[in-house]
Amino acid sequence: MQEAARSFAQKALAPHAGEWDKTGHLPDTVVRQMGDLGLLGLQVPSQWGGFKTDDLAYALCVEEVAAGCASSAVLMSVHSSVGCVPILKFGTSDQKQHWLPRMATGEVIGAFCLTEPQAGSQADALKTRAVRDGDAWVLNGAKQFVTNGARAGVAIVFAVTDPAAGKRASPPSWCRPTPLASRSADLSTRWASARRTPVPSRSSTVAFPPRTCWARRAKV
Amino acid sequence: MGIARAALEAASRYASERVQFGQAIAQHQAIGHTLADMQTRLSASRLLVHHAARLRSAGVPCISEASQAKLFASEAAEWICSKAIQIHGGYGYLQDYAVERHYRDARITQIYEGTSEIQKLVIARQLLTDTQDRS
Repeated sequence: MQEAARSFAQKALAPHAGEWDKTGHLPDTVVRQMGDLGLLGLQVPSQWGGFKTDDLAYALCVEEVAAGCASSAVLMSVHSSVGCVPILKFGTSDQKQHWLPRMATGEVIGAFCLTEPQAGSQADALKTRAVRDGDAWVLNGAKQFVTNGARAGVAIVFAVTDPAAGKRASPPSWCRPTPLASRSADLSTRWASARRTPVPSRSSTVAFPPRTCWARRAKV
Repeated sequence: MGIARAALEAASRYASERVQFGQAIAQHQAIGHTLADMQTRLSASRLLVHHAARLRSAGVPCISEASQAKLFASEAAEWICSKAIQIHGGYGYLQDYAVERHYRDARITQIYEGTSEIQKLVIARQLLTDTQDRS
Protein backbone atom coordinates (compact mmCIF):
# COMPACT_ATOMS: atom_id res chain seq x y z
CA MET A 1 0.00 0.00 0.00
CA GLN A 2 2.86 2.32 0.89
CA GLU A 3 4.65 1.40 -2.33
CA ALA A 4 1.56 2.13 -4.41
CA ALA A 5 1.11 5.49 -2.69
CA ARG A 6 4.78 6.33 -3.18
CA SER A 7 4.71 5.41 -6.85
CA PHE A 8 1.57 7.48 -7.41
CA ALA A 9 2.93 10.46 -5.51
CA GLN A 10 6.28 10.48 -7.28
CA LYS A 11 4.85 9.96 -10.78
CA ALA A 12 1.52 11.81 -10.73
CA LEU A 13 1.94 14.45 -8.02
CA ALA A 14 5.55 15.54 -7.57
CA PRO A 15 6.18 16.67 -11.16
CA HIS A 16 3.14 19.00 -11.07
CA ALA A 17 2.99 20.16 -7.47
CA GLY A 18 4.96 23.33 -8.17
CA GLU A 19 2.65 24.34 -10.98
CA TRP A 20 -0.47 23.64 -8.87
CA ASP A 21 1.05 25.73 -6.09
CA LYS A 22 1.55 28.67 -8.47
CA THR A 23 -1.97 28.53 -9.91
CA GLY A 24 -3.52 27.71 -6.54
CA HIS A 25 -5.60 24.96 -8.11
CA LEU A 26 -5.60 21.22 -7.49
CA PRO A 27 -7.17 19.53 -10.55
CA ASP A 28 -10.21 17.32 -10.06
CA THR A 29 -8.39 14.57 -11.96
CA VAL A 30 -5.92 14.30 -9.08
CA VAL A 31 -8.75 13.76 -6.61
CA ARG A 32 -10.24 11.12 -8.90
CA GLN A 33 -6.91 9.31 -9.20
CA MET A 34 -6.49 9.33 -5.44
CA GLY A 35 -10.01 7.96 -5.09
CA ASP A 36 -9.37 5.22 -7.64
CA LEU A 37 -6.31 4.12 -5.70
CA GLY A 38 -8.29 3.90 -2.46
CA LEU A 39 -6.31 6.71 -0.88
CA LEU A 40 -9.48 8.53 0.14
CA GLY A 41 -10.99 5.54 1.96
CA LEU A 42 -8.20 4.67 4.37
CA GLN A 43 -10.21 5.63 7.45
CA VAL A 44 -13.40 3.88 6.27
CA PRO A 45 -13.77 0.19 7.19
CA SER A 46 -14.66 -2.28 4.44
CA GLN A 47 -18.06 -2.73 6.09
CA TRP A 48 -18.83 0.80 4.82
CA GLY A 49 -17.16 0.46 1.44
CA GLY A 50 -13.73 1.61 2.54
CA PHE A 51 -10.18 0.31 2.63
CA LYS A 52 -9.09 0.80 6.21
CA THR A 53 -6.50 -1.62 7.48
CA ASP A 54 -4.94 0.28 10.37
CA ASP A 55 -3.75 3.75 11.35
CA LEU A 56 -0.11 2.98 10.64
CA ALA A 57 -0.95 2.22 6.99
CA TYR A 58 -2.87 5.49 6.85
CA ALA A 59 0.06 7.43 8.32
CA LEU A 60 2.45 5.83 5.84
CA CYS A 61 0.22 6.69 2.89
CA VAL A 62 -0.34 10.29 4.00
CA GLU A 63 3.44 10.67 4.30
CA GLU A 64 3.97 9.34 0.78
CA VAL A 65 1.34 11.64 -0.71
CA ALA A 66 2.74 14.62 1.21
CA ALA A 67 6.20 13.92 -0.15
CA GLY A 68 4.72 14.37 -3.62
CA CYS A 69 2.27 17.20 -3.03
CA ALA A 70 1.45 18.73 0.36
CA SER A 71 -1.90 20.08 -0.82
CA SER A 72 -3.03 16.64 -1.95
CA ALA A 73 -2.05 15.25 1.46
CA VAL A 74 -4.03 17.94 3.26
CA LEU A 75 -7.09 17.17 1.12
CA MET A 76 -6.66 13.46 1.85
CA SER A 77 -6.15 13.78 5.59
CA VAL A 78 -8.90 16.34 6.25
CA HIS A 79 -11.34 14.31 4.14
CA SER A 80 -10.42 11.11 5.99
CA SER A 81 -9.73 12.12 9.59
CA VAL A 82 -12.32 14.86 10.13
CA GLY A 83 -14.67 14.13 7.23
CA CYS A 84 -15.13 10.37 7.28
CA VAL A 85 -14.29 9.59 10.92
CA PRO A 86 -16.95 11.81 12.58
CA ILE A 87 -19.62 10.17 10.42
CA LEU A 88 -18.23 6.75 11.27
CA LYS A 89 -18.16 7.49 14.99
CA PHE A 90 -21.33 9.53 15.41
CA GLY A 91 -23.54 9.00 12.39
CA THR A 92 -26.68 6.88 12.27
CA SER A 93 -26.61 3.69 10.21
CA ASP A 94 -28.54 5.45 7.48
CA GLN A 95 -26.09 8.34 7.39
CA LYS A 96 -23.10 6.00 7.32
CA GLN A 97 -24.67 4.05 4.48
CA HIS A 98 -25.55 7.24 2.65
CA TRP A 99 -22.16 8.94 2.89
CA LEU A 100 -19.29 6.60 3.68
CA PRO A 101 -19.16 4.40 0.58
CA ARG A 102 -19.12 7.46 -1.66
CA MET A 103 -16.56 9.21 0.49
CA ALA A 104 -14.34 6.14 0.45
CA THR A 105 -14.09 6.30 -3.33
CA GLY A 106 -13.71 10.06 -3.40
CA GLU A 107 -17.00 10.58 -5.19
CA VAL A 108 -17.93 12.81 -2.26
CA ILE A 109 -15.26 14.82 -0.48
CA GLY A 110 -15.62 15.77 3.18
CA ALA A 111 -14.97 19.09 4.91
CA PHE A 112 -14.90 20.23 8.55
CA CYS A 113 -16.44 23.50 9.75
CA LEU A 114 -15.47 24.37 13.31
CA THR A 115 -13.33 27.51 13.20
CA GLU A 116 -15.03 30.91 12.94
CA PRO A 117 -13.50 34.37 12.51
CA GLN A 118 -13.63 34.92 16.29
CA ALA A 119 -13.16 31.30 17.35
CA GLY A 120 -9.89 29.52 16.54
CA SER A 121 -8.04 27.89 19.42
CA GLN A 122 -10.94 29.01 21.59
CA ALA A 123 -13.33 26.63 19.92
CA ASP A 124 -16.03 27.19 22.51
CA ALA A 125 -16.46 30.79 21.33
CA LEU A 126 -18.64 29.58 18.48
CA LYS A 127 -21.47 31.85 17.39
CA THR A 128 -23.07 29.73 14.69
CA ARG A 129 -26.51 28.92 15.98
CA ALA A 130 -28.65 25.88 15.35
CA VAL A 131 -32.36 26.22 15.97
CA ARG A 132 -35.05 23.64 15.52
CA ASP A 133 -37.79 24.79 13.17
CA GLY A 134 -40.49 22.21 12.94
CA ASP A 135 -38.91 19.27 11.23
CA ALA A 136 -35.74 21.05 10.24
CA TRP A 137 -32.60 22.42 11.83
CA VAL A 138 -31.74 25.94 10.80
CA LEU A 139 -28.08 26.84 10.99
CA ASN A 140 -26.98 30.46 10.93
CA GLY A 141 -23.41 31.62 11.08
CA ALA A 142 -20.05 32.05 9.47
CA LYS A 143 -17.14 29.64 9.33
CA GLN A 144 -13.49 30.23 8.49
CA PHE A 145 -10.65 28.20 6.95
CA VAL A 146 -12.71 25.36 5.55
CA THR A 147 -10.27 23.04 3.82
CA ASN A 148 -11.90 21.27 0.85
CA GLY A 149 -14.68 23.84 1.14
CA ALA A 150 -14.98 24.43 -2.58
CA ARG A 151 -15.16 20.77 -3.57
CA ALA A 152 -16.82 19.14 -0.57
CA GLY A 153 -20.09 17.25 -0.98
CA VAL A 154 -20.56 16.92 2.78
CA ALA A 155 -19.41 18.99 5.72
CA ILE A 156 -19.31 18.43 9.46
CA VAL A 157 -20.55 21.70 10.96
CA PHE A 158 -20.39 22.76 14.61
CA ALA A 159 -23.08 25.04 16.01
CA VAL A 160 -24.54 26.08 19.33
CA THR A 161 -28.00 24.84 20.24
CA ASP A 162 -28.18 26.24 23.75
CA PRO A 163 -26.17 29.42 24.42
CA ALA A 164 -27.42 29.52 28.01
CA ALA A 165 -25.66 26.23 28.72
CA GLY A 166 -22.32 28.02 28.48
CA LYS A 167 -18.93 26.41 28.09
CA ARG A 168 -19.75 23.14 29.78
CA ALA A 169 -22.11 21.96 27.09
CA SER A 170 -20.02 21.72 23.96
CA PRO A 171 -21.78 22.41 20.71
CA PRO A 172 -23.13 19.53 18.73
CA SER A 173 -22.16 18.95 15.16
CA TRP A 174 -24.12 18.50 12.02
CA CYS A 175 -23.47 16.44 8.99
CA ARG A 176 -24.80 18.54 6.20
CA PRO A 177 -24.80 18.28 2.46
CA THR A 178 -23.14 21.08 0.59
CA PRO A 179 -22.85 23.21 -1.50
CA LEU A 180 -22.10 25.50 1.38
CA ALA A 181 -24.29 28.54 0.94
CA SER A 182 -21.43 30.93 0.51
CA ARG A 183 -19.39 33.02 -1.75
CA SER A 184 -15.95 31.54 -1.88
CA ALA A 185 -12.94 33.78 -1.96
CA ASP A 186 -9.61 32.39 -3.00
CA LEU A 187 -6.95 33.02 -0.44
CA SER A 188 -3.57 34.10 -1.69
CA THR A 189 -1.20 31.28 -2.46
CA ARG A 190 0.85 32.30 0.53
CA TRP A 191 -1.15 29.48 2.05
CA ALA A 192 0.82 26.97 0.06
CA SER A 193 -1.34 24.08 1.13
CA ALA A 194 -4.71 23.15 -0.27
CA ARG A 195 -6.66 26.24 -1.04
CA ARG A 196 -8.74 27.30 1.86
CA THR A 197 -12.14 28.58 1.02
CA PRO A 198 -13.49 30.79 3.75
CA VAL A 199 -17.17 30.25 4.23
CA PRO A 200 -18.66 33.75 4.29
CA SER A 201 -17.75 36.46 6.68
CA ARG A 202 -21.37 37.40 6.58
CA SER A 203 -23.98 35.22 8.23
CA SER A 204 -25.92 32.88 6.09
CA THR A 205 -28.95 30.92 7.09
CA VAL A 206 -29.37 27.42 5.83
CA ALA A 207 -32.12 25.01 6.77
CA PHE A 208 -31.65 21.24 6.84
CA PRO A 209 -34.25 18.57 7.31
CA PRO A 210 -33.37 16.31 10.22
CA ARG A 211 -32.71 13.24 8.09
CA THR A 212 -29.60 14.92 6.71
CA CYS A 213 -28.35 15.92 10.12
CA TRP A 214 -27.63 14.62 13.48
CA ALA A 215 -26.98 16.59 16.63
CA ARG A 216 -24.69 15.16 19.21
CA ARG A 217 -23.23 16.79 22.26
CA ALA A 218 -19.47 16.63 22.11
CA LYS A 219 -17.78 15.55 25.33
CA VAL A 220 -15.84 18.32 27.02
CA MET B 1 6.72 14.29 7.61
CA GLY B 2 6.35 13.75 3.89
CA ILE B 3 7.08 17.41 3.28
CA ALA B 4 10.19 17.28 5.46
CA ARG B 5 11.33 14.09 3.76
CA ALA B 6 10.98 15.66 0.32
CA ALA B 7 13.03 18.65 1.51
CA LEU B 8 15.72 16.42 3.03
CA GLU B 9 15.96 14.33 -0.14
CA ALA B 10 16.25 17.47 -2.28
CA ALA B 11 18.93 18.90 0.00
CA SER B 12 20.84 15.62 0.02
CA ARG B 13 20.77 15.45 -3.79
CA TYR B 14 21.81 19.08 -4.18
CA ALA B 15 24.62 18.75 -1.66
CA SER B 16 25.96 15.74 -3.56
CA GLU B 17 26.11 17.69 -6.81
CA ARG B 18 27.07 21.22 -5.81
CA VAL B 19 30.84 21.71 -5.77
CA GLN B 20 32.52 24.42 -3.76
CA PHE B 21 36.14 24.53 -2.59
CA GLY B 22 36.98 21.53 -4.72
CA GLN B 23 34.44 19.03 -3.52
CA ALA B 24 30.73 18.33 -3.26
CA ILE B 25 29.42 20.39 -0.37
CA ALA B 26 28.01 17.20 1.20
CA GLN B 27 31.63 16.33 1.98
CA HIS B 28 32.09 19.49 4.02
CA GLN B 29 31.46 18.76 7.67
CA ALA B 30 29.12 21.71 8.21
CA ILE B 31 26.76 20.40 5.56
CA GLY B 32 27.18 16.74 6.48
CA HIS B 33 26.36 17.46 10.10
CA THR B 34 23.32 19.49 9.08
CA LEU B 35 22.05 16.63 6.93
CA ALA B 36 22.63 14.24 9.85
CA ASP B 37 20.61 16.46 12.18
CA MET B 38 17.82 16.71 9.61
CA GLN B 39 17.70 12.92 9.21
CA THR B 40 17.68 12.34 12.95
CA ARG B 41 14.82 14.74 13.59
CA LEU B 42 12.84 13.17 10.74
CA SER B 43 13.38 9.70 12.19
CA ALA B 44 12.32 10.91 15.64
CA SER B 45 9.16 12.43 14.11
CA ARG B 46 8.40 9.19 12.34
CA LEU B 47 8.71 7.10 15.49
CA LEU B 48 6.42 9.42 17.46
CA VAL B 49 3.80 9.36 14.71
CA HIS B 50 3.96 5.61 14.20
CA HIS B 51 3.79 4.99 17.93
CA ALA B 52 0.62 7.07 18.20
CA ALA B 53 -0.85 5.33 15.15
CA ARG B 54 -0.20 1.90 16.65
CA LEU B 55 -1.79 2.90 19.96
CA ARG B 56 -4.85 4.21 18.18
CA SER B 57 -5.23 1.04 16.12
CA ALA B 58 -4.93 -0.99 19.32
CA GLY B 59 -7.71 1.04 20.92
CA VAL B 60 -5.37 2.37 23.60
CA PRO B 61 -6.05 5.96 24.74
CA CYS B 62 -3.35 8.04 23.12
CA ILE B 63 -4.31 11.69 23.09
CA SER B 64 -1.01 12.77 24.63
CA GLU B 65 1.04 10.62 22.26
CA ALA B 66 -0.91 11.97 19.29
CA SER B 67 -0.37 15.55 20.47
CA GLN B 68 3.34 14.91 21.04
CA ALA B 69 3.64 13.48 17.54
CA LYS B 70 1.84 16.40 15.94
CA LEU B 71 3.78 18.98 17.95
CA PHE B 72 7.19 17.47 17.32
CA ALA B 73 6.75 16.47 13.67
CA SER B 74 5.34 19.84 12.60
CA GLU B 75 8.09 21.86 14.33
CA ALA B 76 10.75 19.45 13.08
CA ALA B 77 9.38 19.82 9.56
CA GLU B 78 9.83 23.59 9.62
CA TRP B 79 13.37 23.21 10.96
CA ILE B 80 14.26 20.58 8.35
CA CYS B 81 12.83 22.62 5.48
CA SER B 82 14.65 25.73 6.66
CA LYS B 83 17.96 23.84 6.67
CA ALA B 84 17.14 22.43 3.25
CA ILE B 85 16.87 25.97 1.89
CA GLN B 86 20.13 26.87 3.63
CA ILE B 87 21.91 23.94 1.99
CA HIS B 88 20.66 25.10 -1.41
CA GLY B 89 22.16 28.52 -0.83
CA GLY B 90 20.73 31.29 -2.97
CA TYR B 91 19.02 28.83 -5.25
CA GLY B 92 16.97 27.64 -2.29
CA TYR B 93 15.12 30.93 -2.21
CA LEU B 94 14.05 30.76 -5.87
CA GLN B 95 10.70 29.38 -6.95
CA ASP B 96 12.53 27.37 -9.60
CA TYR B 97 13.51 24.96 -6.84
CA ALA B 98 10.97 23.04 -4.76
CA VAL B 99 12.49 23.67 -1.32
CA GLU B 100 10.92 27.08 -0.76
CA ARG B 101 7.51 25.52 -1.44
CA HIS B 102 8.29 22.73 1.05
CA TYR B 103 9.15 25.40 3.64
CA ARG B 104 5.84 27.20 3.05
CA ASP B 105 3.90 23.91 3.01
CA ALA B 106 5.47 22.89 6.32
CA ARG B 107 4.74 26.14 8.12
CA ILE B 108 0.96 25.70 8.41
CA THR B 109 1.32 22.30 10.07
CA GLN B 110 2.12 24.03 13.38
CA ILE B 111 -1.18 25.89 13.21
CA TYR B 112 -3.95 23.74 11.79
CA GLU B 113 -5.51 20.72 13.48
CA GLY B 114 -4.67 22.30 16.83
CA THR B 115 -1.86 24.82 17.20
CA SER B 116 1.43 23.83 18.84
CA GLU B 117 0.29 25.82 21.88
CA ILE B 118 -2.89 23.77 22.16
CA GLN B 119 -0.94 20.53 21.72
CA LYS B 120 1.28 21.57 24.64
CA LEU B 121 -1.80 22.28 26.73
CA VAL B 122 -3.08 18.76 26.03
CA ILE B 123 0.27 17.14 26.78
CA ALA B 124 0.76 19.03 30.03
CA ARG B 125 -2.77 18.30 31.16
CA GLN B 126 -2.31 14.56 30.61
CA LEU B 127 1.08 14.59 32.31
CA LEU B 128 -0.30 16.34 35.39
CA THR B 129 -3.32 14.01 35.52
CA ASP B 130 -0.98 11.01 35.35
CA THR B 131 1.19 12.52 38.07
CA GLN B 132 -1.84 13.02 40.32
CA ASP B 133 -3.06 9.49 39.66
CA ARG B 134 0.30 8.05 40.61
CA SER B 135 0.53 9.92 43.94
